[in-house]
Formats: sequence, structure tokens, C-alpha cells
Amino acid sequence: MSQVILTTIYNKLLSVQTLGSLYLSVGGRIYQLEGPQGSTMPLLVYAISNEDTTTFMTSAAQSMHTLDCAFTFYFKPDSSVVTAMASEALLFSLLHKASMTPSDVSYSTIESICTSRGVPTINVDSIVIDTTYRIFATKQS
Amino acid sequence: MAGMSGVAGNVAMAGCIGGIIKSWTANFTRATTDITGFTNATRNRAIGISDVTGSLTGSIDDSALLMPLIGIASTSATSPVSLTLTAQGGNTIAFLALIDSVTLGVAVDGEATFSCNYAIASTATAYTSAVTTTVWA
Repeated sequence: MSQVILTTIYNKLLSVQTLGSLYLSVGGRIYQLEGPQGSTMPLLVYAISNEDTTTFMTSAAQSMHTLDCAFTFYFKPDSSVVTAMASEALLFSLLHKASMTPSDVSYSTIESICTSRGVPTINVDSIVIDTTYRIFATKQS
Repeated sequence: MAGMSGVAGNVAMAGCIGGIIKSWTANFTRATTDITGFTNATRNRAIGISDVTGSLTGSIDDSALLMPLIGIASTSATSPVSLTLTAQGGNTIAFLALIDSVTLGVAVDGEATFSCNYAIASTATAYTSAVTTTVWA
């Protein structure tokens, strides 16, 4: 799994920070793997859950990488479910069928589609929405 | 002498696909005919002429190199192409072949792939002229 892909996704999540953006809907709290101890909600945590690398024979100058990226929203239990779902919708509009500019020129394309939008659930002391995206990347050697 | 993986494999096809190959196969066959006589103690067979068929698989890229491959499968292209299959550097098999089918696959949640089947098409009068190999000869 590539640091370039993770960085590219992060850059995409932070690419819009205006009123009504995903970034502001979670108070700018977007983290990889897990949020910091004591972090306040809402927050968005994402992690790569699966990675497949397709290699071609010797004269090929490229390899293809398919990743599943799981995003989890955490909202306070007294928040409106509609608010949580609106935040998830902002992620969908940002990443579904998205073409991202790779953070490094060694990659020629990075694209993503949503494979599961998830539903809001109560998890102890938070409203949680799990959603999964598939990322396709082409690396030039 | 050493075993090999397919990492250094390749397919070269004149004027056709480039280097986005994932696998190739080559199937060498010879038909046999039963010519057992009444007095034979066991079966006796005569060997037929050699045939080579096989397949290639890979991913579609956005270059124009793949398009001639599709053309070969169409009725407008009837000439065999020079096909060189490489297992690793120096270990190759080369012959003239016709592409008789091409399958393209594009899925929204995966890579775009192709596969094609080929068969030898040669007018050579000797097997060693029709199929040339390096190292394995």
C-alpha cells in the first residue's frame, strides 16, 4: 500500500474547506487509522482495509493498485442522525466516481468509487456511519 | 540451471500489443492415429503434425497499441503475426500465429482486462522453421 495514495486521499478530503464542506462538517477532525485520545466528536477516521497489487510482465512500465478504504464517522449521540448522514453525503459527493490528482508523479491516475455507503448505528456513546470506497491507482515505474 | 517465475516474462507481437501482459500459455499438441495391426501385441500409433495454440491475458491501457490486436481478430485482417513468447530473458518461443478471438472486460469496480486466443499459422515445411526457440532448442 502506498503512502502516495493515502496522501492523495487526505488531500482530497481537505480540498474543500468552505461552508458546507465535509471538512467543516466534522470540525476539521479527519484522521488516519484512529483519532487522538480524547478527541471530540464529530470526527472522521479512515483506514485502508484491503490492498491488491496487479503486476505485469517485464516490459510493462506500470502496476495497478486496488484498495478498499473504510471511512467511519463518529457523531455525538445527541446529534441529529440527519446531520450525520449529511456529512456522509458530503464524503460521497467528494469521492464517488472521483478522479484525484496523485501527490507524486510516479502515479498517473487515482480514482475512487463508493462500494458501500453504510447506515447510521448507535455504538455505545456515539452515532456511527461506516462507509467503504474502492480506490484504483496506476503507478508508473 | 534454475527454476523461473513469470516476472521476467513477456509477449511481443509485431505491430500489436505492448507490455501489459499478465500471463500467456502455449499448448503444443500432436494428434495420433491408431494404426495397430492384427499381429501387434500392443497398440501402435502414428503421430500427426504439430499444432500450437494458446492464450494471452492482460490489462487494457489507454495507449493505441491494443487496437491492432482487435483488428487482427476481425475478418479484415487475415495475415498471421510474428508472435514471440518469453518465459524469461533468453528463453523464448517464436512462430507465426493468427489471433482467433479477443475478449475485452471492463467493470466499474475493477480493472479493464483483455484476453485473446491464438493458433499457429505457418507454411514452413520443417517444424524447426515454423517454431523457433532459444535455450530450449
